[in-house]
Amino acid sequence: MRMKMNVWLLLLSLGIFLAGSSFGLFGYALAQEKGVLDRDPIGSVAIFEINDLTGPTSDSCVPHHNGIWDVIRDVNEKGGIIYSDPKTGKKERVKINFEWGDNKAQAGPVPTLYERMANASPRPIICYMGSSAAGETTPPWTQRDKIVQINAGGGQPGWYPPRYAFTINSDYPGNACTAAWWAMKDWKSKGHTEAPGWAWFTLDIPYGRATIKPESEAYIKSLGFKIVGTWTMPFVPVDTGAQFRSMIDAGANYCYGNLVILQQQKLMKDVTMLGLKEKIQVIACPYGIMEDIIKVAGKDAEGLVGVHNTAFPDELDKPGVKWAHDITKKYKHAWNSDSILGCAYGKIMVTAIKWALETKGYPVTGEDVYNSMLSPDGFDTGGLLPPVKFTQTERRGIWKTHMRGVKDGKIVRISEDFTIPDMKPGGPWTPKE
Amino acid sequence: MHWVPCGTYNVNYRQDFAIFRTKPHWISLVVFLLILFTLPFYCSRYMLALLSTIGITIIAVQGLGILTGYGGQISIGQAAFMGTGAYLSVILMQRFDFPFLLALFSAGIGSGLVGVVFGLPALRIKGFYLAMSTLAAQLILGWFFLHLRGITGGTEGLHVEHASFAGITFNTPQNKYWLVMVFTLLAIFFAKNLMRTKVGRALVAIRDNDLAAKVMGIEVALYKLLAFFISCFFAGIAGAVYAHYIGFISPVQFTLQDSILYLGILIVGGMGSIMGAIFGTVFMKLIEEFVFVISPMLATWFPGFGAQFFAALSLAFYAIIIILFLVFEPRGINHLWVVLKNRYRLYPFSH
Amino acid sequence: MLMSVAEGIISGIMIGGVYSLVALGIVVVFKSTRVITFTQGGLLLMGAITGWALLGPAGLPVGLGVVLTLAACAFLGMCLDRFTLRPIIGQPILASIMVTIALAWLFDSVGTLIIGGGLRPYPPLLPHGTYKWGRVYISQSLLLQFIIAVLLFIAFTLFYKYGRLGLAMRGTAEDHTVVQSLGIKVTNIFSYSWVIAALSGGVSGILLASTLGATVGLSGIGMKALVVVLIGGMESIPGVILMGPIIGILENLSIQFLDPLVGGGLGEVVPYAVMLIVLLVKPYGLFGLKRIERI
Repeated sequence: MRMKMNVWLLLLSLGIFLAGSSFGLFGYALAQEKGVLDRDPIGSVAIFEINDLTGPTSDSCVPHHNGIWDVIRDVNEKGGIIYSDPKTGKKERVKINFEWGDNKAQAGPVPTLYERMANASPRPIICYMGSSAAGETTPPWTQRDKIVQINAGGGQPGWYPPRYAFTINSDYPGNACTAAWWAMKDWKSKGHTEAPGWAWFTLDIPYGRATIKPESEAYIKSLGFKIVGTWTMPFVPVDTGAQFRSMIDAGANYCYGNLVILQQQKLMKDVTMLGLKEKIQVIACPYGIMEDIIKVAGKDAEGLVGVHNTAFPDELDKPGVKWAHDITKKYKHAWNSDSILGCAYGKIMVTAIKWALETKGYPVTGEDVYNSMLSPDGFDTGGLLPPVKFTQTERRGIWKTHMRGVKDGKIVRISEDFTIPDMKPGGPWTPKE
Repeated sequence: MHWVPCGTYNVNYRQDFAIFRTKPHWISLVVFLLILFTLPFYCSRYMLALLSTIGITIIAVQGLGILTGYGGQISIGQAAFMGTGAYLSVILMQRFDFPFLLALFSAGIGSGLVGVVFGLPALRIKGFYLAMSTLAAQLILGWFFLHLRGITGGTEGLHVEHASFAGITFNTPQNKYWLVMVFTLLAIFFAKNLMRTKVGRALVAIRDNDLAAKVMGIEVALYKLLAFFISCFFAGIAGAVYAHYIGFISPVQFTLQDSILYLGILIVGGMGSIMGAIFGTVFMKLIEEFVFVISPMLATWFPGFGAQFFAALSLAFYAIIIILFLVFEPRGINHLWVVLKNRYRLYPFSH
Repeated sequence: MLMSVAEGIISGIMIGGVYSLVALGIVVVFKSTRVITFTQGGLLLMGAITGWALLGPAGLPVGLGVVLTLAACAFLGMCLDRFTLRPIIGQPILASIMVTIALAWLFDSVGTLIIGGGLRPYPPLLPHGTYKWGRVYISQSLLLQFIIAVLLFIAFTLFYKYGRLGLAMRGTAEDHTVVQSLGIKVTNIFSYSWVIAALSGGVSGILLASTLGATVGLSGIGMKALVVVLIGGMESIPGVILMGPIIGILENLSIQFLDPLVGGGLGEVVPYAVMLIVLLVKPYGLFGLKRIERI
């Protein structure tokens, strides 16, 4: 009995010791955290951005910019990126310099914008290219300068061949495959047996065309579609009736295109007005089925479906979404799926820098960030995005997409997750010569 | 009135025609060239990129200056002709294995010929009508860039290999800068001298009054087309150099807005002068850079407005500058420069 | 096939009516001031944005909002004339072209400053349904736009033919010095022409934006209106009335039947190609006046 008592006492004292020491450690850590905020930041790292802040695609690009900017401002206001230095083990913090330029959806201003910001001091280690015009021009340069490039657009030069450019989003041809996969299910569920017709809409800019690739066409054909042609959308469509008439004459049942809200809402208005909703199903790309479409197209948006891959803005039970929502509200920006993307981009960039700092210590180079981008665990966005992971040969982060639809004035999920096929040039879907 | 420096007496025609007359002229030229070509050794890459784009723009604007400033034929299609040159040079090099220099000059000539085709309406119309037909050229050529997908790559554009000749591969910002500057200087030299020949004087006569020029025996039709050819040749060279400078070409690089901007540059710099095109380009590009640098700062200071508020300023700046120049100084910066020079030469006398 | 041709032609005529309305402003300004304006698109944009601001966020009733918008447009037109175009009277034609282009840029960027790059929804002004006519569908809003354009044209023709000011404007179009000697102040006529241009831009801006929403790219319609004017002849109001619908039809049919063959984008190019051909064959447009030049 006495002995047992001793054992208990021993265990108890051990427990107290452990609890105390862990508490002490925790307190020490807290003190460190507090200490690091009292100390001056050890330095700063630079991020820059080239984006379409004005121009025909800016209504999607501006929320992304705001999201990234909000995340960076939030990090800086909380003291910067706090990390434990690998050499000394001490907590340190670095501030983030963030600079951006507007290339107006044109390629003309890109070189001077890039060279100015890429050669600033401190030297940038990571950049964000929100503009397709910029994102598809700069990969050779970022590779030369060893600056990690995050692309918003899923156009092919941004992810293939593998360079310093990373595309977090699902790629554009892959999005089209998602749409076709859903359309085929829809077509069969309506009891049709003949081959449905597939029509492309395109904008005459790199973004508009990026989804139409030999690979995506091969995949869509393999599902049993008949591809009937490509129709161009003016940036500011006065009337799209002509395109629809031509499409339906050619035998299209589904149409898909990389458009933005501006064009997508006009499509929906016209398709409603002309009474064509029964004849043709409009499928939107992710930027065409953002929440704004309901605001601008009203009832006409009913029946629109689209490909998407982020969380929904009202899924506030997911920690990442809550975090992004709070940050967006803190800086008084509109909260929608676009800001989810923006915040996710910001979070991934900041995380990559933090990991680089924790492995290399300050100062970090673009190469260190590049290595941390390739971290085998991938990035956890707290539910904002599906799992994001890059490898040595693969620069596309997201492979899971789903379909959304407008029902009763709300955007709802209408399909399970779809794993997009590999649209790599020279990959499994490249047509053989 | 153009004053020559004090104490300069022209005793023969050679001296009278010289561009650089005095020792200080020559010394300043040599010093300028030395500085220009040694800049890469002590300048940041940003400065080099800025200067290179300025240089390329100067080539295109000089061409436009010959057509619009000297010849009086308004063209709103210079960017498209530049694009023609860019695409031609790249396609010739990639598909037909032309060496760089040959491809460059073929591109210039090809672009010039395209320019002549679209200049044909100039034989029947002028002024605004011509402006609209060159606007049509801009849009139609732009459509070809976009839709001849097999050749031009469509919206995805074409990737351009590094230029190389005489054993040098132009792959660093430094030697690309040298490449651009050589062609910029050649273009300026060529334009300056061309305008002092029969062609230049004929063009000026046509600009001032084409009927009178015709009565005087000038082949108006020929010279108008020649002006188009030369202008588009310059544009083609500019485009080819641009393609090899930037390493990637796509239709979004040659837009209507650029074409109009070139006209604006010409007006701000001063029509009908070689220096004007240079002044105008430098001025407008610096304004653009100023807006690029200032707009994120402003957005950071006034976060309430949002980023795009300030990004939209650059176009407004351009517009206001062009309007102010047209209203208050229609002869452009070049006129200010001439006035300054004359003041200096006449100092301390007022006239 | 036949149905879609018919639909294409009918909707082309209706879109063309709006093009004509935009183009009217260009012709009126050219007739009296000899300035070719590229600003028409900008005025259209300003009309659309002012309309949005008054009807949307300010929440005014439709009638009041439209009237106030038009008043603002008229004021803008007058300011344009007074502060930018009058100082450059007598300068070469390039100066007036560049001033109007620069103004168009200015309006574009002012538009971006106000509404950003995106789209602002309009309160529904026009009915939002379809007329079915056999198997041909015509959207109500397009038809109404067209009817409004036609009514405005009739009103303008009456004003121009029988109104006192209209007479003075027609006189100014003929000869500035003669009119001046008759006691009409030419500069005032310039102002009035710009007011009419701004009104035509404002009305068409509201009409177009009511179906599309207010967006900065609307100013591009001004370029199409220029094509209409050039093909019709710079000085011809009947030419404009006729050519707008024809351009609309051309655009629709080339989108419907040529685009599938060549891979798209022709709707924006064909009007310009036609214009190029017309300029080569009949340099002063189909209904234009040939001016005899003297040294």
